[in-house]
Amino acid sequence: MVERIISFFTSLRLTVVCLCLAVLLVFIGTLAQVDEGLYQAQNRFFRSLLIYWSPAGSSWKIPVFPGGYLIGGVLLLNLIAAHLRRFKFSRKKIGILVVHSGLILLLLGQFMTDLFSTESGMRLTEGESKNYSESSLHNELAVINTSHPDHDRVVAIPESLLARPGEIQTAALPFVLRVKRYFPNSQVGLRAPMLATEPPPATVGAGTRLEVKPLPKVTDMDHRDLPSAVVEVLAGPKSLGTWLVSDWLDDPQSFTYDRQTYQLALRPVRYYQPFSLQLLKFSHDVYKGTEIPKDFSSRLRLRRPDTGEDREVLIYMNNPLRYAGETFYQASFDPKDPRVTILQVVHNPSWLTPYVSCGLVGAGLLIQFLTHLIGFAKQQTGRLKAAGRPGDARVPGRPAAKPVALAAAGASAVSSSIKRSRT
Amino acid sequence: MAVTISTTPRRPITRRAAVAAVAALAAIATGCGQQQIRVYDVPKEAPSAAGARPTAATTDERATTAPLHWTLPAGWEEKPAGGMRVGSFTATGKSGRTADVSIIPLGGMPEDELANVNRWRGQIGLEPIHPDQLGAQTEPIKIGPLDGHLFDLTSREPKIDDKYRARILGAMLTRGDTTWFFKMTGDDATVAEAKPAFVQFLKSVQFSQAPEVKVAANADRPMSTNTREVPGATGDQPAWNVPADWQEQPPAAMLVASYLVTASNGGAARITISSFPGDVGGVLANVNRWRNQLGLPPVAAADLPAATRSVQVEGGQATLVDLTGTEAKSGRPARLVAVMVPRDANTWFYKLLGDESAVAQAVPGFLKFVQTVRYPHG
Repeated sequence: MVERIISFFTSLRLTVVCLCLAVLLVFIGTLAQVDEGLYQAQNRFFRSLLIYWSPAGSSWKIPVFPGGYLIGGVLLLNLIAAHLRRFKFSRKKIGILVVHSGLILLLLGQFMTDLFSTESGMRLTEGESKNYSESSLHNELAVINTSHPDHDRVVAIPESLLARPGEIQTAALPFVLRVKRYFPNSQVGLRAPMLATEPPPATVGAGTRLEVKPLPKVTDMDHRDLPSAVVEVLAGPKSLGTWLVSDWLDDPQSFTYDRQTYQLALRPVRYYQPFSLQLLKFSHDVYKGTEIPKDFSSRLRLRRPDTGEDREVLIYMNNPLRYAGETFYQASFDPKDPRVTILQVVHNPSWLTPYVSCGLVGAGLLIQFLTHLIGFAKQQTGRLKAAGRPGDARVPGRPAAKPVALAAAGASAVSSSIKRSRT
Repeated sequence: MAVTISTTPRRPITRRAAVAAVAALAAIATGCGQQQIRVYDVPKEAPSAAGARPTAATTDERATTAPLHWTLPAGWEEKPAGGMRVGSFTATGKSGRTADVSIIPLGGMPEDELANVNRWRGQIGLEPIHPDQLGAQTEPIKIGPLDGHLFDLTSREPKIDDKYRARILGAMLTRGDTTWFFKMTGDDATVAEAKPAFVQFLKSVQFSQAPEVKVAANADRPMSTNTREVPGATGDQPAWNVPADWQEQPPAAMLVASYLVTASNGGAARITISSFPGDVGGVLANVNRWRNQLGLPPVAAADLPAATRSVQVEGGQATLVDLTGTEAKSGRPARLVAVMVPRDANTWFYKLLGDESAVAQAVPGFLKFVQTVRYPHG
């Protein structure tokens, strides 16, 4: 049985099938972006094992096509397995080994990038200092214990857990959170008592004066979802209130339990750093007499308490700040406030792998080509010698014959390999 | 003749390696997409000059949820806010009598300034005023960094304890999709004494940092620095051609523009233009609001198609309402013609309201005006 599995995973047919499925997947996924938006289509088609289809009006999820993770994973396994099974080391195959290593590294590297890299944004107004960046895609319900004088303890609950109805229980919190309603995208506003027909969504906090309406998730890149949720805090059988939490609310909402003070905030996922950046000056220059942007730059002060580092840095177009494993790009600005800069923060521990793998593949191909070329040239030279052609092999003073022979041998080698590929 | 097929020699691969590889792939794949609860400590957030989010150490929900802050004048006492109020105070005069101060936000639909002024006038027994009288009653005021309007109304007859005339100081400000009402009510002498403090209180009001950028549903992504052109300050304003007989009026806080048109018989009608994010409650809610203004009963959703009609405007269709009734506040017959134009993420309201004859004369020009408005971002 295991032998059959191994034969399956080492077969060339599997490689061809996976490549064909990958081409189809890219085609279908690209078309789906039109209706579903970039990020939703990416998650559904490429960051998944299987693609599901639900019949209209049904909650069934029927898998209909392999997803990107499955195709990529099987391809990787196929490549490694075939290599382990069939490959016999020889000097002539060094090039192929290097090429395959590059391909494996590329697949693995992109997989690691997908798992471990993060992209976030840091919005700063002149004078403001921040030690965190925020995700533009993912949100979290932060339950913050602010009782300690020196620090806050944050329990960050990912949005994916809010999307499941039920209770959230964690050892980090002395109470339970019951998610009553969750809106991936919503519109929140102050209640107009004359028009409101339902009671407020919350029993305490800001939600007693607000109303929330669900909206469809955005599909274009120019907007982002505004999630909200109605959450009840339960301490055993006792309810500490039902709260409306939303990205719409600027400030967190507070309550006390067991002589500890907690805050609730539904906010973009935060990535904290051991250093802070303070925006000293944001410059937005335009070409004189026009409104065409010339330059965007942010002058910041970087402070790191644990090392005592305190220096100015300048970030501008094509000149990011690379520091502590993060890369800060000058990404955007706020057209309504000229004092605001928006930096894109990228954390990608496997950023080198595409460069290394392309280098390996290129080097491997070059090695393999040269190996064949030199071998073929030697072979041709040997044949000429054996055929006994004194004019070419023994007469001195005719050094031009060697380069000509090599060039002829190279051309012959190329035409031979083309013929072999066609048979 | 036997044919020998040579096969590529195979190296034996251990069962353990194969099983391990498949198991690793399965483990990684099933682990993908699972998000975990994170627990970590962070330094306390220090408030900065640019207005970082303050941390709260109290259970006072106003301090942690308030979209605005203020400086409490000396001698004022803050009371627990309840119901619709986000702020509630008492100002005590030298006589020992008190005036009540409230802050009430109302959202979801635009608020008509004249209607609210007449509502306050009605509360203290004053007759309603006409649109052309509103300007004389309006006092510009600063509410925080923004411009608002203050109205100072005093009853003619004693209304408090049958001895004292009632006085109302009312200020209105529309910000985003919310209209803020700041109101002081009390006897004439106490309110007069507290008026300077009330004005200073209004100036001290601070709204939360740039909520328009963050809180709007489907908030726009910030502009990329790869744009070729920076949008100008007028990029969001439509362009229109104002008929020659329309007299421009100073727009109220929540209006984009306001005009007055006078009929040949002396009757007047007012044209107001406003814009709000979202659908502002939808067509039905707004139609019933206008019907209420003219003393008409509300309609159900099923009757909406009969109560409205569609008109062609630049870039699509709009909803038109034509109502005739009795204006609730003035008690006079009036006609209202309004057009709701959904455009991008906003809804534009064009309203013609006033004397029936004036409206009848102005309707053709009004409709032509609405249909020829040119919106930005096509």
